[in-house]
Amino acid sequence: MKNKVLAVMLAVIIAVLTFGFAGCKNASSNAAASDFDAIKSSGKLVIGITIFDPMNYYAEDGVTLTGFDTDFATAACEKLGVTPEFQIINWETKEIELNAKKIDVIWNGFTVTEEGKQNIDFTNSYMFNKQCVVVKAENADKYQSTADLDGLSVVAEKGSAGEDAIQGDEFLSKNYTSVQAQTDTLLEVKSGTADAAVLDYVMAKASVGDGTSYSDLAIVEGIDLAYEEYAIGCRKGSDLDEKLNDVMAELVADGTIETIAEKYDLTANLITK
Amino acid sequence: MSFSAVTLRLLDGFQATLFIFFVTLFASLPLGMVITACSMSKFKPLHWLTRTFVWIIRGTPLMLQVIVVFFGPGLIFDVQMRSRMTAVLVAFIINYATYFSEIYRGGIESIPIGQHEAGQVLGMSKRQIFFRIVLPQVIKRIVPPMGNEIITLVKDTSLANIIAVIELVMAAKTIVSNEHIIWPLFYIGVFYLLFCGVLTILFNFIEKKLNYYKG
Amino acid sequence: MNILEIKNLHKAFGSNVVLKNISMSVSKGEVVSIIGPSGSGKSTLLRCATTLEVPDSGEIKYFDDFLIRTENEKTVYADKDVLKKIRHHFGLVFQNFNLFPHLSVMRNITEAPIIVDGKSKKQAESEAMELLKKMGLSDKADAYPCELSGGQQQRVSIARALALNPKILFFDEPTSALDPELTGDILRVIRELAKEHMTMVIVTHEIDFALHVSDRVVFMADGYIVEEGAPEDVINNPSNERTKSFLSRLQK
Repeated sequence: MKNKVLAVMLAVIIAVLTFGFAGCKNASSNAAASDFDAIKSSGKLVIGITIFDPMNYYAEDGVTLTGFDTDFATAACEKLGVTPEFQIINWETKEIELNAKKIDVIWNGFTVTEEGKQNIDFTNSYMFNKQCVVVKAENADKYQSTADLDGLSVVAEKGSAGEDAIQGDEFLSKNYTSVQAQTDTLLEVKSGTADAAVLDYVMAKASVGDGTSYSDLAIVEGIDLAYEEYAIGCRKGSDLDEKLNDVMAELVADGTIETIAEKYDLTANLITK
Repeated sequence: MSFSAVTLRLLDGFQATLFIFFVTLFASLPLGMVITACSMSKFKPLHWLTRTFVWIIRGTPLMLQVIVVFFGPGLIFDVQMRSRMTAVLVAFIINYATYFSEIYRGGIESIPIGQHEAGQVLGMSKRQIFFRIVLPQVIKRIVPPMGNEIITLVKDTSLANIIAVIELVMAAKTIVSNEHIIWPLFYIGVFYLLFCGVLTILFNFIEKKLNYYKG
Repeated sequence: MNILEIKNLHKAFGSNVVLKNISMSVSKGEVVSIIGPSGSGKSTLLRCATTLEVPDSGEIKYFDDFLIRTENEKTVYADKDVLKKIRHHFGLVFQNFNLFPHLSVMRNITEAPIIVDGKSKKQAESEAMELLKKMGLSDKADAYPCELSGGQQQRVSIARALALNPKILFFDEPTSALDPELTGDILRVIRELAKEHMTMVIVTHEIDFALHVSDRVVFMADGYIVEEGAPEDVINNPSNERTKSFLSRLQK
């Protein structure tokens, strides 16, 4: 008798869980092969971002999202006729977010790599960047090449383009430690737990020097690592990248991109093919 | 960014932390009893099914469970669970209910068989024995391990940041990334400490209240 | 009139047969002591009679209610309602008291009368007070079991059993868990009850006590009733070799 009651209870729990998930089924799941059609019919583009100054970050009020990619994506969505929905994600799980359809694009100063291309369809590149070395300001003039940094302790964000650059360099890779976030690399150098950090040039420019928390750090001029380009990442096999290429071309043609780049002091990094 | 502005923004994250904490606590306390009942069932298939379930939940990291609940349906069935918070709550409730169920089970099994027998020969029904004899003794015995587990829950809420739910740690990380300042990440420790401090006082109070008899 | 009748009772734990063809009866007002070496099955017999163990076959009857019987060569057990009725006929005092540690002495005694018999709290408490007085524990009503000595705890557990007005009271080695100097208290209480003609079955190692208090002594060994009869006969003039050797070993 009691066993039957328990068995029924368990069956109910399983049923609730099963139908509970089924209930969450979104309209996009029964969409046709076209990713773009699904996005069009849902009326919104879910854009995966991390807080990455100057691409996507919060304005003074702490609520309004701003930045180059924020404005760029908003302008592009207007052309596509959909509403942008910015979703903060963890950079480590970006591919899962994309494949599980939690987000539709990764649009966050996303570096194009050969490995990345195997899992992700990239649009045309719209910006370039390079990795740079950040050290304590008083030491910045001592270094001209990576050989000068031989044996010093170096940090970079785990899985970042900076890490790739370090691992491809015989001097930097000697005493390398990975950390969780780009900002952590600066924290390490500032606190003296590491001698040098390798990170995005764009980010380093925005983060270090006078008027920042890292005013005692500086970029080592003359060491350029891992030239890279930024593009928008779409699901493999998606038709969205083609649509975004078209929209990008329009935004280049009407000068919108140029205007946005000026606003964020990124004109020098812009690629306008 | 000023101290008060950071505090204000962290309080938003802390709200989410509290939400995860209380919803998980209040849902998993009773669900744990259901799992205990299944786990202690004399109906063998249900017993083994539940034991396997308990093994899986206790044998895998909560962080992985959060990832599986949130991304799993989308990756495997193309079925979407849109709300990140819902995914966190589902994973947390299942995980904590399982841990609680094991504490309950340990508590129930620690009550000597003689207590059941004494109730039985006095003519009490199984239900009366459980609710009037066993349960009050179980509650006293499980308060210390439950207190431990609940304080762990406070800190486990930070695992929600793996799927980018803006709780306290994620809120701090966002401020750190956005404002290029470091201290908020350390400052959130104060929030956790204060909250756990309140819980510790509460559990000490409950333990004292239940201390009117030994054993 | 027989309160309890047991016929051809069998009980095995796996391949270990503990009770073999046990038959005995207890009539109203009778005090029966069961003695015998450890592992002889006397505790199991008591546990079968008090529904704590389920016998394999045979018959146990309280008044006209069967706890277990054999019908057309099949063993039939009492249904829920009969079981409830039977549990009302007897009380059991455990070797290690099994008081409820979270309840006061008063509530240990009144809990069952209130929730099982539906007595009012007031009536249950006044009856419990009477019992406590009888046990010499009037001042302990508000104490918790952990605050009492072993002898006091056992007296509370006797009061708890008596509170339900049982027709027959079983004792499972009531003094075995007590320090020797405390056993006297319990034996005195049982003697008092015997004077009031309470029907009792006592499993005990206190041979002297069995001799002086009981109307009948049953000697068990290896799952059998080896010998039974008047205390003087069984204890002072045992006819069976097993009984003799058991008693001589005890008296050493």
